[in-house]
Amino acid sequence: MTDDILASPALRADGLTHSYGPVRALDGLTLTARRGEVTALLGPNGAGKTTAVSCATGLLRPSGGSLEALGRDPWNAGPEHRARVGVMIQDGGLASGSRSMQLLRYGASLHAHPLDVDEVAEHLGIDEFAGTLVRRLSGGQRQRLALALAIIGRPELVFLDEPTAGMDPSIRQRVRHLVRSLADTGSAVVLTTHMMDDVVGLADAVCVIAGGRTVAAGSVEDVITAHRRQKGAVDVRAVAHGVDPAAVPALQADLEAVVEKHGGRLEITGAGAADLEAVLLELMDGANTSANSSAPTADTTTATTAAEGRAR
Amino acid sequence: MSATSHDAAPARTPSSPRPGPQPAPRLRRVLAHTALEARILLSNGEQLMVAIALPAMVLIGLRLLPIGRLEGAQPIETALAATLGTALISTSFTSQAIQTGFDRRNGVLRWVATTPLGRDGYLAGKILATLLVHVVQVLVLGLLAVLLGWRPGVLELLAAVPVWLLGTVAFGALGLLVAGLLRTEAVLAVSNLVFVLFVAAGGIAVPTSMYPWPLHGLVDLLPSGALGELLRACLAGGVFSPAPVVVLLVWAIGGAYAVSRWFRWTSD
Repeated sequence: MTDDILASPALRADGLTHSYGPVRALDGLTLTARRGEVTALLGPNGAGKTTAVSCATGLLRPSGGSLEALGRDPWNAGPEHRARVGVMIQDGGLASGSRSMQLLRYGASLHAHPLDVDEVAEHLGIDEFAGTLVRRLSGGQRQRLALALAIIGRPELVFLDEPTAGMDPSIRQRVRHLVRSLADTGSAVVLTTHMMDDVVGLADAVCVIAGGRTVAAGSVEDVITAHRRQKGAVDVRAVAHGVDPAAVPALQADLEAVVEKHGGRLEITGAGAADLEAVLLELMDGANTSANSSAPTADTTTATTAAEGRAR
Repeated sequence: MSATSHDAAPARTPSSPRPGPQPAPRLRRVLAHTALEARILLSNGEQLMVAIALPAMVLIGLRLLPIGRLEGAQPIETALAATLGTALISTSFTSQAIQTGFDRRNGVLRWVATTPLGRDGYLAGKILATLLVHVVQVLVLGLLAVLLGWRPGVLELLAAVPVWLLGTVAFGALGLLVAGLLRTEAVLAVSNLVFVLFVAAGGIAVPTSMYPWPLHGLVDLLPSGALGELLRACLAGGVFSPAPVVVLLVWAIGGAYAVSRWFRWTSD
């Protein structure tokens, strides 16, 4: 690939529109996904996420606007284009009468240079239910199989619709590693999700959709900061090292005093869900078990104390 | 599995050479889909019941009972013609309608359309899988017929091949039409009901000439009536007439057109 191609976005939608009868699902959507990045599509149910992905994967023909995936119009694209795009659709798309590994091998056989099937199966734990009929799989197992099918052809552009829905925490973490590694090796990953943890810990860019339109786009930090600024909020994130836990209330009081001086209000939150989940996972994986499970000393406690203040 | 073994990306690192993603050759894609469809059809107990066990029961029943026999033909010959018609409709129409209907509901058709296989490859693989299952049906049912006294002639077998192909296209198209138009639950009900009607009252088990007027003329116009007449002409010394060929051809062309026009790939 030339530098120009690598530099150009893998997916570019501009002013995209689509209607289902009288219902306007997309109303001028703008979206960009770059190679080497994970782009998260966020929005409430009915915002237009799935319709946007359907248009981008050639399943629906947009009624207006421009759309390019890997430099092609997906609606008219042939097998050569489709081999470069991996898709994990929301309802799975798995043949219920087939067995897991049989289906994965079938998916691989549609590509000239697929990933190693056994390696992918082991990585995603599919080997644990290799011979099980798809209709007997749990929701999380189906998700893993659908994800494996989406990446098996080494795609340059991957669409993942709710990739971690229904998965237990350890598998979810594994999937996040996989998605990250896909982006790190140059693929453009577009994922839709309702899980903020997926976005904060994984996405390089976010596109927030509402009513079929893009209401915010950019890096995760940019979008969060811009949104809070709009509401007159300022984020202050502080991590204190080597502080006696007994001194934390005093620190908090000092912060409140500073904020009050400037006429604001302070909210302090502890570690977020993502941090908590990471700790749980570490405990489950047995990593640093003794250090984490022993009674906390002043030093270990303060080293992980983080205060996130939000002054309004 | 250790946690460590899962932390690495599968089979790909930034330093490893990365072949560009390309589709497998078209024939390989279609054959891969053919194999998947055929395995699903032949490994499913209910499908096997409809594809093999039920036609076998029809063969034994019609061999023993004096139903649908033609003058000058051996009972096993008329029984086999009716049985192969039953088997063809069960696989091309009923099984394909049900399987495709569930594929549509489960999003398989959506996913397939995003892969290098594509919609045309999916249909091609499905048709080939149906033909493959037909071959298995013919071998099993033919062997059973031989055990029941059938002595096949090469010419009559060869004459049945184009009829078999034309019937597969006509009933396959009708099966896809039902699968692509109706809700899955309705597909299940309609495809089974129509199958029973085709076999019992549509000119498969009983020659159309045995129906009272005006049913006689109506059954002649059904795809099942045309298929039954042609199979009896080939396998049971029946009278060959071009009319059933035209009828079956019209159903095949009309069905294929209707599928291309109205088949819905999603349940939306």
